[in-house]
Amino acid sequence: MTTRERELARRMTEFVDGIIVHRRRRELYRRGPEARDDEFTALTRLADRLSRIEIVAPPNFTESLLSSLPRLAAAETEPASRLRRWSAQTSGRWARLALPPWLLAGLRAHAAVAAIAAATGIAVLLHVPDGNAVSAAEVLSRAEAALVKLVAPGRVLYRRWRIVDARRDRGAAGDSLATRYVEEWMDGTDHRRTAGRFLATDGEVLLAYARALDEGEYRARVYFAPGFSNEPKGLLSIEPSRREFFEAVKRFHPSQRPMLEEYVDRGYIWEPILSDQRFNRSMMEGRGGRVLPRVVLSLDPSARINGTAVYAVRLVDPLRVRFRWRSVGPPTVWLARLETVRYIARDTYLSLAVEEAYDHEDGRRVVSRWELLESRLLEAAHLRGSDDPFSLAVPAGVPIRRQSAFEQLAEVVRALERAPRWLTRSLPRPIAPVGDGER
Amino acid sequence: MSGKLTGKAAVLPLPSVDVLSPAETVADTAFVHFYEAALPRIYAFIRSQVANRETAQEIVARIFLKAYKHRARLPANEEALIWAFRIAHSALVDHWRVEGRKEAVRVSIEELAELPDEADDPEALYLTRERKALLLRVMSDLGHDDRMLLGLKFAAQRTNREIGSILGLSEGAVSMRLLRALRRLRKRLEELGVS
Repeated sequence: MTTRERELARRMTEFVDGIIVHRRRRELYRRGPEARDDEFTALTRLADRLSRIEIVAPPNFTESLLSSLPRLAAAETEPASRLRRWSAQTSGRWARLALPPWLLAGLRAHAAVAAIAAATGIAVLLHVPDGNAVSAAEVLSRAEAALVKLVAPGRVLYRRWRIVDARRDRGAAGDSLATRYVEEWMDGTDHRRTAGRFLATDGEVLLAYARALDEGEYRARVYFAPGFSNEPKGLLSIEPSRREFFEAVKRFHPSQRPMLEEYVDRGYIWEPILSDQRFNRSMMEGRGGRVLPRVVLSLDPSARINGTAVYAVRLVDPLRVRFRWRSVGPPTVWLARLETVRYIARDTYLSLAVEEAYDHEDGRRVVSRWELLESRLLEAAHLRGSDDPFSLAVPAGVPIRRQSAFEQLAEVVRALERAPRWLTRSLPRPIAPVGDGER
Repeated sequence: MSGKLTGKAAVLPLPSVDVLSPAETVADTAFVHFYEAALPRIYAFIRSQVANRETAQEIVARIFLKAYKHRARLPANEEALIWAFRIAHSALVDHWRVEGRKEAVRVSIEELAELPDEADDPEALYLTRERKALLLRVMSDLGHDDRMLLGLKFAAQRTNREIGSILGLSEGAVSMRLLRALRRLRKRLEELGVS
């Protein structure tokens, strides 16, 4: 028997055994539950789920590694450093560094970040400064990874922001200022489970949001307090799931579907933490700009805010579609131009501040400055009863409405018909830099 | 894997562009065939064990650099894959020794392949892939032995006999350890309330 025959025999046996084992298992299931044992059933289901996970290597990595091997092997001296350099060139320039001293003594947000790192034992991934080698998309990508990395299963990420809105209506002489707070929660066991609250300065809840599993799919419930968002009696809005949005897209004319898919994909529908991530991913993966105008990303790698080195990532979205659910009738949808500058700490990749400038169709300009006040990890088990942000407590008598994805998208289509006119008249009005102005 | 960087590194140049195709660069055809067969499984295995893509790529690069240097001694057929997995096993143990602590595996949904029989509804597909990423993350809560065994079985798709050869265990021992690892994973999922 040759080596080839032996190898062929072994592979044939493996193949045939695979078929037989599969048939035996099907037979066992045909014989009914009494023939099975519960633990066996549960474990086979788990094994089946595990066997369906297929991790793929990035094609550029596969190719570039193969072509680099001779070069790496030839480098007899310092192979480790060369290899690390190659890896860094290929996949980003990461390294683990000790937490710098200023992190512990700087802004409140920095202290919170350090506290999280200390409390969780998770080292924050830090970055090797590399001048202009980093792109805006990379910074966003790493910011997302750093945030997700902080939240382990069984824990909940909590963030609190202070937002100062400066609003100027068309023709108004000056800005009217308003302060509010936003709290956000993200469940580390399931990142799709999020919650949020808008609070007035006196602590009154203006809006509460909770996204959780509902009959097998994630659905958001949003409570608007009476008087907030043009709802005198308040409103509990039960929002469509993402599946329902995508289903609704199929009911539109084929020529309208691409722009609606892109609209849903861009995460314009606010969700705490998640919608930013969806939007960032959509931009980084180049999914944006097929139909709707492309969002422009740019980076100032040498900005400072309150003395802290940050990446200032600027996103200019010339056609932001905004909407507001209502208790009666279809949602109100309008267009805006949005310019966002996100200040991301250079060493922790966590967002410290955000500025948003909306130029709305009705001539309003609203500049909102978000400052991160607090960022903590909570034990999920401790969030019970009134402390559980994922369950909404709604006062009696508040109208409840299950919103329609189709109705909302129909209004989006109507609004987008105005897009060409809007795009020609909405001229860029950049945000004035805040922070130290140090460069 | 080497130790951690402890200071600030210099600005790194952009990656060089190879003019030659990979096959032309690596003249050894047998090695190219081995690489093409082994890399997807080795990468999947390593990625299922480490926190992020960058670390996985660095370890995989180290494994194949070692394989390339010793390509003259490359075993024939399937044995070559077992040989590569033995290198991968030691590289991973080294990595964990240097790291000194467990890190949760964070696999983004873009790193997961879409299987042919999965739903074509984008939302359902997204949710399925998110669930898989979550399962991998919970798997990384287990001890090193369990997660390595599950990685070899499911991410690397190795038979018990092959796993036995890689880890120096009998097939029977692999079966028993696999059962216990699955039980522990199930228990962990139940603790976290993941259905």
